[in-house]
Amino acid sequence: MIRVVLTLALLAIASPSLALAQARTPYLQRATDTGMHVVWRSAAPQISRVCYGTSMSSLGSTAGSGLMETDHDASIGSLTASTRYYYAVALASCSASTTGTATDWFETSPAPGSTGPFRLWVVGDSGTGDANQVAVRDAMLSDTAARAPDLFLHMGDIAYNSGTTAEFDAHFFAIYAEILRHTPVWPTLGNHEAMSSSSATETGPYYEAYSLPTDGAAGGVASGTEAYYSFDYGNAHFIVLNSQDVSRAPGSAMFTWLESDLSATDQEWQIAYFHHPPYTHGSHNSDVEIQHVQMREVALPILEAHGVDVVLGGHSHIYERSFLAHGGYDTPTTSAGHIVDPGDGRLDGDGPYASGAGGTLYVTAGHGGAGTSGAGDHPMMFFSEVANGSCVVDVDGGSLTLRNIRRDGTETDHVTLVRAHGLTVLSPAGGSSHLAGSIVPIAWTTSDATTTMVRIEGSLDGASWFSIVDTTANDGAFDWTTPRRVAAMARVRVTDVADMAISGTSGPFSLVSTAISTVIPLGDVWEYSADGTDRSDTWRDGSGGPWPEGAAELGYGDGDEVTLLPATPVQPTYYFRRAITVDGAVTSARLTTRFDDGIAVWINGQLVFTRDVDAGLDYATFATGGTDDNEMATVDLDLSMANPFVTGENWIAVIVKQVDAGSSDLSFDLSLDLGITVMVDPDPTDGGVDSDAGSSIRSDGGTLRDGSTTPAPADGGCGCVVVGGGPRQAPASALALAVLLAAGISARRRRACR
Amino acid sequence: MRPSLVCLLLVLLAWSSAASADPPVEQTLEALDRAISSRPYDVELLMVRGDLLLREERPADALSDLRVVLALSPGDARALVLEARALFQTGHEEAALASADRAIEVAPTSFDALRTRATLRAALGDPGGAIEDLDTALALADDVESYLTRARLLRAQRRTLEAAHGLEAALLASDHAAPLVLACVDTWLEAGEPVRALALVDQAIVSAPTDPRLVILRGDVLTRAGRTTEAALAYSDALARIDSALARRSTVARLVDRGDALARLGRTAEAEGALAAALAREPEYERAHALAARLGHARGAR
Repeated sequence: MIRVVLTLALLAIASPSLALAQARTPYLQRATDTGMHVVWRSAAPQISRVCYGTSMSSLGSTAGSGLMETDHDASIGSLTASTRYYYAVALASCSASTTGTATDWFETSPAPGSTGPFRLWVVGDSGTGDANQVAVRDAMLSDTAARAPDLFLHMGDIAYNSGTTAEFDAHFFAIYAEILRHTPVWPTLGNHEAMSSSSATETGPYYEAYSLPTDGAAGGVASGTEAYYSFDYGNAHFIVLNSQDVSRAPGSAMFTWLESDLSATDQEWQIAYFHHPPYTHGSHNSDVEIQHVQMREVALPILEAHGVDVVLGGHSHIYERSFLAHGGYDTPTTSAGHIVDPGDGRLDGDGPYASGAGGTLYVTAGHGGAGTSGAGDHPMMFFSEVANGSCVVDVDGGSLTLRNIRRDGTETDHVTLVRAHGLTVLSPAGGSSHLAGSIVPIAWTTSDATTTMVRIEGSLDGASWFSIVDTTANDGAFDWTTPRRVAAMARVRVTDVADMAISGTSGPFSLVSTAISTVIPLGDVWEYSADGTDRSDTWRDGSGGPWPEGAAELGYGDGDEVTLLPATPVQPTYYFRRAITVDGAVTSARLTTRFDDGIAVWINGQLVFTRDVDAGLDYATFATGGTDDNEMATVDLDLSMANPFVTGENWIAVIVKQVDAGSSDLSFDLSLDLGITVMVDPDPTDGGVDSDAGSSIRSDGGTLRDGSTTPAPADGGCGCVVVGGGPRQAPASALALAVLLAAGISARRRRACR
Repeated sequence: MRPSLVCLLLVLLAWSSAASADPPVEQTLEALDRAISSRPYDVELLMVRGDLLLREERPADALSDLRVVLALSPGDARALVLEARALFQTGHEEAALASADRAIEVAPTSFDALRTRATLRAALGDPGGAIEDLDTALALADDVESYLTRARLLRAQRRTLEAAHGLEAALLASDHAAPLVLACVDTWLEAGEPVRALALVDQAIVSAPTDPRLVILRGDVLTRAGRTTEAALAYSDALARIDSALARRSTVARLVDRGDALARLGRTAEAEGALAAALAREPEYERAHALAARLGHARGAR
């Protein structure tokens, strides 16, 4: 009982306005670039009118119903973006001489997409009404004295203990009154609000307190409910989910809406929040309680698939901040393989996290007032601190910095995400695979015409960077000879030499030791001999050139040829050849030809494929059977007995024979897919990320987890890795083949120039 | 939950947990156990524990508490609803329905009770009864999830037109909530009314012009209407939008969208490539698996 009495005493000290009981001073809702809702509650009926204007001394515009009410919600429209308006409530009339005060004002949101700086205040689990809550508030106010937050995001548990109207008044509206007068608040429902409010019926004190967009009017698409919603501010899109009392089943209305909402947004930053964080070892364990588990298992795959940059939560009374992470959906959570960047994410440390490159930052901000506790040892977290506080987030164009402000005013953690701004890396594509040591085309585009020279860097782990080229022209393309190293999370970063803020990073891609590579696609260029000369056996190694060149399909008579060959004089045999360079050991080969009428193929002089040439291969012999026009044949070459391929230059030589002297057409095209295994260098770091490694305790009470070097290669760092192995390792499925083909893996090809 | 109950609970918890006003579930249960052991017939404490146990998916334990509550307070509608859910989860389906019936007798305008009985009736093979309950519930509150459930039940009964009209009405009541728009389009198509579906899609595109999935959906609707040339144009338009979005921000979802558009354009190999890239980055993304299943089906059909 002593504890209760003490709490009430502290409450009275912290909240002098509590004596006013049910009155709520004006607060701001549904902020957009063109509108604002001014909401307040009066103890007795008063006129529901807001006078407003851009000058404090002239509030000539009017909004509100003009009726005598106690609950007031005045919608103001047709406002100008990024503009300060002064307002006064409950006046009998508004005129050019109506004056306001220096405390009652609001600023409209910037136009969606605009990149100017803005600041967020992130608070969770604050609603105790006690000295902790006040200290957290005051620490934020002190920290942001020079520049106040533009938005107030509440992570839920706004009004302990059960979200009653009286608790909202005392633990939220009274304590934050001066902030709420000019800072729009965007809440999500916590479990304590759910004790008195229902999301199914949208009734109860929580839903009475807030006016939230159901129709997509603040950005995003209509959810049809205030239980979950979205809004835009500047170049950011905010997604507010309900992890408490709506269905969290796959395919539920909320997650169907989430897919639609994220598909529709084109904003540069995407920030999601809900009460139960997916990763926490604070006063709650995210592997144990069902809300955390379901949000992690169902919501996170959607959020991450859409590239959401930051996920915020509360509920667990602790501050926790993750590494840049991806794909950690399992229960129990492990971090192995899910930490995209093992660095600290700090500009003054290992460098910022690259946003938009396949990772998300997770923050538990459940430390806004309620008593803190927990082990603070979640493996996904870079930093944890068991102390009250709140987060201040600054977004400025392509940069987002989150700082933890402890209740004593100390900044105990900070992290920065940097989004490619004005420069987009087009390839290598995220998720693609490339042969280690091969040439990978890097392509990028810049929207800033002032960029003339760029620097290109590479990373094998997404964290440690090395220079590929210090300076090269901003022509959008560069061929990179990749290291002979296996890497699962490689990236490329392109940066304007003159302005580091103009930078782009590729999504994570793989360097592999074995890959299927289309070394000759259909339609490629071939040398040909079609002048009636008998080339005998001396042409298959590139001798006797130069020959003319042309793109396939080569031939005549069908009308579909790219390169037309002479039909006269009558020639029983036409010759085609070209060289390829193979950098590694060929373990499989698939040859696809289009031909008419007979064909024979040699690789480095070794005959590997024939069709309808049983009468002989000399120049004067005709084919033994006519084919259908443009017949296709595909064969997997048996390399187990005699592998014709060599490392380096390889000659592919082909003859196509007519069936007889009267044949009306001739056709030739050929593609070659090779499985290539390369020798890779051992990993010099001889180790890798052990992201479940132990943590060290900071002297200030926060817990830092040690990020380390690079991922270990698949073979433990000892040379050649054969992923598929065997003479002909067919892809597991057509899909797997598509992975490799779509990845654009290509061995270097050299055109014959003799 | 009544405030007095919560105050009581929190006083108990304050003594049991010095650190937190929101202790972990196990701590809460321990505190409740201690409190109930000294006050075994306290209806409010038993209700709180029963509710918590049910949410923690321990229905048998919840049932023990709820039965005591109902013995002491037979007309407690909230306890009856919880009992119905607990009974259903423990396999006592008929008893569950009886509890839900009783809850509605006591509180005929309880949204929770009506929705619970609708769920039970649907599960027990009485979709008509479930629809009746949902109709009553939806007259009390506009709940998107309940509108969707109602439509699903009607469609399962082949009352497709009724479902479509119901969803159209729900759209007006819910500010055209995105899940309802998608369900309504699908239902109009099933009802053989592509023109009505097209009108909805076009309206949705106006509201969300940057969503390429809606443009793909437009193509699907046009295909169903036999307007294949326009459909192909829609798919091409969607693909161009997706590629433009991908150049700005490469996400797994956009790769799946790309695969989706390519598949509809008949460029199956490219679609598989886009899908494979998506799955390599996000193996657990449900939409990617749905597309994979569709492409697999298409391959099989060839």
